[in-house]
Amino acid sequence: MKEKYSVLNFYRRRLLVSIEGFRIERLVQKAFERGIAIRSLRIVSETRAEGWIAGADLKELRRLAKSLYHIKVIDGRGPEQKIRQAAARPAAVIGTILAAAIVIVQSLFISEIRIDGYRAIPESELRKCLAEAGVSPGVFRPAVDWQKTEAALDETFPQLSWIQLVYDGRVVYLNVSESRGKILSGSEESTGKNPDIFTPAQKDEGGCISIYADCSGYIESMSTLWGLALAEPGDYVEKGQELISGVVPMEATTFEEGWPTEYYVRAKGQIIALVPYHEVFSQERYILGEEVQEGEYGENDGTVIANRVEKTREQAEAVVNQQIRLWAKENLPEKAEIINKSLNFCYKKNIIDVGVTLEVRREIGIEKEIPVGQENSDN
Amino acid sequence: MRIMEEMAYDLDFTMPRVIVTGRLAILENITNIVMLSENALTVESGRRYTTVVGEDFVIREICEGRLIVEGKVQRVEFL
Repeated sequence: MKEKYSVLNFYRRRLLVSIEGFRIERLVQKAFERGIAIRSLRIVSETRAEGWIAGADLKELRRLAKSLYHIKVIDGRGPEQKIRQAAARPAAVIGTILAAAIVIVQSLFISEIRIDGYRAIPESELRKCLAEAGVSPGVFRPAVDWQKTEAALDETFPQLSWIQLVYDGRVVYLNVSESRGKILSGSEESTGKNPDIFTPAQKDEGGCISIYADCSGYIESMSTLWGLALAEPGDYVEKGQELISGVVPMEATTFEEGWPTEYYVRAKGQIIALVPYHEVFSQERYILGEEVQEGEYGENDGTVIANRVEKTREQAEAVVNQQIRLWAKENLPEKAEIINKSLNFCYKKNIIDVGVTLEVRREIGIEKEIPVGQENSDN
Repeated sequence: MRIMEEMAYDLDFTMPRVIVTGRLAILENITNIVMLSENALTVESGRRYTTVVGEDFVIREICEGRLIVEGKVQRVEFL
């Protein structure tokens, strides 16, 4: 019978054993004669020694020891020993495998999408397109068709000259580069002339627009979602002044000749301004005596002239407030808000003229289409 | 060393052969372990007994007629 390679056996599974008994050297001698290798044998006391033996030799050593020596395993090393220890605790093994499986399976789901490189296209639109193509947080990554997603992006946003859609672990990275547009606006789209005009893919909304001031006022806040902002908070703008331009300048990224210097977008944003208004409202100066008697105006301390009573300041102010409300309903947009008002009463023969100065907070942006590519265009 | 002495050194397996280097002692040609303790060990090599005396002995290996002991070796005696 071929003898086992003892060194390999020893390192595959080695045990630290404690040998207790009298004349330990006799057992060591027997083991020596049988070819059982005892390594790092330490004589702890006259009746006790500790040493390492191969796991396969434990049975033989115990047989040699008979009842004269007590052999106890203190420690074990080696891969086989680890496997034996693990096998002795199946719950721990199952738990470890389960935890590893959870981690692995979780790593197959998309947790985050990072988008970079976009300029005119809103990030929300890119995310929406990705979601429609099946790439969104929580999606099983191996089920994603990356080529199809890239094709969907390319189709939805023809102005993208370069698309990189990659993933690293649970994070998906979308890097894009916008350059030459494939869709032309206005007449260019149908004729195919002037291929250097850049327009974003806005198939449904039509041409490019800019936002202009609907009335004069001081800009309080301005949020530009799309386009080039031409004013900033604190500026005084005149009616008709361009606030957000749909013509966005761009710099050439190559040395190619004929590279366009601007591209066109559909400007979008919200411009809130403080707009001053000055109006004059008129009302009757006197109240008839019958109305006074009926107590329509309550207690009246005004001067009584020929059965007429002059309105007090409070009565006149109540009337003018009512007139202001009516005027605001007819002339101001729904979300407008009157912040300040100043009343200047001017008493005339039978009427009272009230000069009203109002400070109104309102949105002043109004969209106007840019006639792109037309000859003799104003913009 | 003459050639006969060299041959006797290499081929005589009944005589003890001891190499002591620092904290290590290698005993070869041993046939029997007579006594083991923390401070001394005695082995038989056919015709002679060899005793190594010292402190903190740990027997690193016993196999194929060789015993390697590690510890502070103080003296070696041949009986």
